[in-house]
Amino acid sequence: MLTPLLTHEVGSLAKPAWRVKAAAGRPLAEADIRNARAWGERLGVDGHERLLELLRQPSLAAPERREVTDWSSRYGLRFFESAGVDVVYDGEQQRSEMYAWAIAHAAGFERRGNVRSFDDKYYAKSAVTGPIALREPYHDWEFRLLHAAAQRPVKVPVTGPYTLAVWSFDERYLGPADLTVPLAERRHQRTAARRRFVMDVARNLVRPNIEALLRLGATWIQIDEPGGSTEPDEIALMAEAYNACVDGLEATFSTHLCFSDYRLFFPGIAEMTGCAQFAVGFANDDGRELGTSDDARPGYQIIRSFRDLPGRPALGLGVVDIHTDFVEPPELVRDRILYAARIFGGPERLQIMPDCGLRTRSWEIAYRKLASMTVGARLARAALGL
Amino acid sequence: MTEITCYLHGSYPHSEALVARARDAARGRRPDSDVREQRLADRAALRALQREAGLTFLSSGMLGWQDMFRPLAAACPGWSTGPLRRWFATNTFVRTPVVRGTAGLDRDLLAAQLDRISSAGEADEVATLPGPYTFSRVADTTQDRDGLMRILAETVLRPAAAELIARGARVIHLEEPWLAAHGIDDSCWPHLADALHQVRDALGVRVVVHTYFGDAGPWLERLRALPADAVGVDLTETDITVLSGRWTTGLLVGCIDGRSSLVEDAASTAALARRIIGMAEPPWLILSSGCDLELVPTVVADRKTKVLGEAAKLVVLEPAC
Repeated sequence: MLTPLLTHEVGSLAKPAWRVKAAAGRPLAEADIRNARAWGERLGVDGHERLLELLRQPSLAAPERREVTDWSSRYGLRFFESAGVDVVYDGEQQRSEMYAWAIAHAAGFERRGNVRSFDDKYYAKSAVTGPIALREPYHDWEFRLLHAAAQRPVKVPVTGPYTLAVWSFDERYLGPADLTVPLAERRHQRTAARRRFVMDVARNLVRPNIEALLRLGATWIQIDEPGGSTEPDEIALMAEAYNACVDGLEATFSTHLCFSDYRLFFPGIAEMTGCAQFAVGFANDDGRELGTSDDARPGYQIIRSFRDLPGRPALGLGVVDIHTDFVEPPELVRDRILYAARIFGGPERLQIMPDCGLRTRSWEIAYRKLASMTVGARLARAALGL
Repeated sequence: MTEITCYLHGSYPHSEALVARARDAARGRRPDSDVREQRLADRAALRALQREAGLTFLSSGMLGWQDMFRPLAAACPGWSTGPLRRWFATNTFVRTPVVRGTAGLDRDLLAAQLDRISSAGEADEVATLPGPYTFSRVADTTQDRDGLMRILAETVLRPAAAELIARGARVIHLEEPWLAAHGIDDSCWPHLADALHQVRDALGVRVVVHTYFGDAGPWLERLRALPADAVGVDLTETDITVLSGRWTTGLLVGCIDGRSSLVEDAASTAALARRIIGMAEPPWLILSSGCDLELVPTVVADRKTKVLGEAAKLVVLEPAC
């Protein structure tokens, strides 16, 4: 059972310019070093003078670049802790990106190129071309580092199998389409191929990676499925793949869903019996006025469906919109929580988080949003007499 | 005798160079002017590719459009854009156009939008716009959506089409993915037909209404009765047998899969087109992709574009089965 109104992070943070440039072997500007010093002091990152020393060097060898990336993880960790978040990670500072990082550590994929997600945001898309396997566990390094450095409990975000598959091209399980074949037969072929693909990712890539984390002492794994509702008739497959990742393993397992028509997830996600918490973004669709009525909280109407899931899993309540620089006042966060608590008949099954990762925001905005979130959660706790 | 043509519709993927510059600009490492410069280079490269491939009409690839609705929403005073919405069963998102108050596209504002994202003197012969049905369903509105179709057609799509024609468009291509993906109620058809009349009547160029992301089969008879010069179907989602019967309107066949990285074979695509000509005998056959090619990387899209042109050439050379 997760603690009521526990606050937690949910995804990635922007990578500081000093980390990006150092990793790429590009020269740093004085402003980058000033930024590293300012945030190091603000967040109270122990020993950050060593980072400044590294950043002042004219060039960095590979081990030193590695060290800079590790400092980025420590900064990310303190970023959340300093903002008052209860359960933390590092904002995925070690990973290139949630999809590309996993695929880069898998056998059976070939990169095809960048595809636009929205506006001028893109992601690198690969194709499955061969047997899928885990080449090496891809979160072990960061987990060891964060587990040792964290002052608060950590939760490890892991990209889910359905998302990894649906964000990839399939050049292995389904051959070139013959458009003269009857549609019903083609659809049957597509369904069967997709199922084999997703389940192979679950069994041969994501699960062994999770098992490696558990061996290192991880206790809470969040399986991210932002692609979960891409194909509405595949929710059951997403659930089956989730179960294949976690069945029989000992830990707290949760999932993260975002920016979807959440109605599509029902009833399919009811089959995710091992899921202790559904962490879902809602603030993106909500108004900014204060209030705890249905009219004041349009973005949260769907939470009734999560409330009624069998097994009574917790709901990670997204209360901060990650697509805007608007910093939600704590009172707005409070009202979103109080509304949810009313719908859920109490706060026992609610935890608090941003809608998604804050990586599209500056650190300044992200920090203010998180700080406001934690203050808002405190206001809600007080209002609820907790 | 069937007139054979081919063209690209909708959005084309951004080149790796444009992606890199856009990312750099977003991180403050480059000025926005570098992005614009690369976008124009992409546009020139796409035009050259289409010419080389032998496509009948050249498309802009909508390289400067953030999504199909954004420049239109920006050109309508009082409108805004809302939260990101998944674009059907893809990992691409659009911002919901928030339609409030009296609709009305300001052509000067649209012209300013288009000038910002294109270069002078290069006509886009195919201009893609959202169809009235899809637009009315995607919009965040408090209005009756069927009634909204006519309003959108009259006050937004028609003036937008006129502006695009003034800039050289010879085909107005209306995207109607919602129709095939989510279906359409019987009661909506007269409203859709009325809206299309508003867009097309006396427009002076051909108007194509294209469905994709779903099976057009159940709607085909009524689609063919719409006031359009051609209707489009996505063959990756539609059985070719439903195309049987003598067509009196044009037919766009989406025979290139815009969601797969596997590149089609030109000879097989041409054979498919010949079979469709034999089955449907349309006065006008357009070879194109099902959905637009934005969902595959440029390197894949470029190859698919070449296949499209090559297939069309093969059909022109030998149209019979």
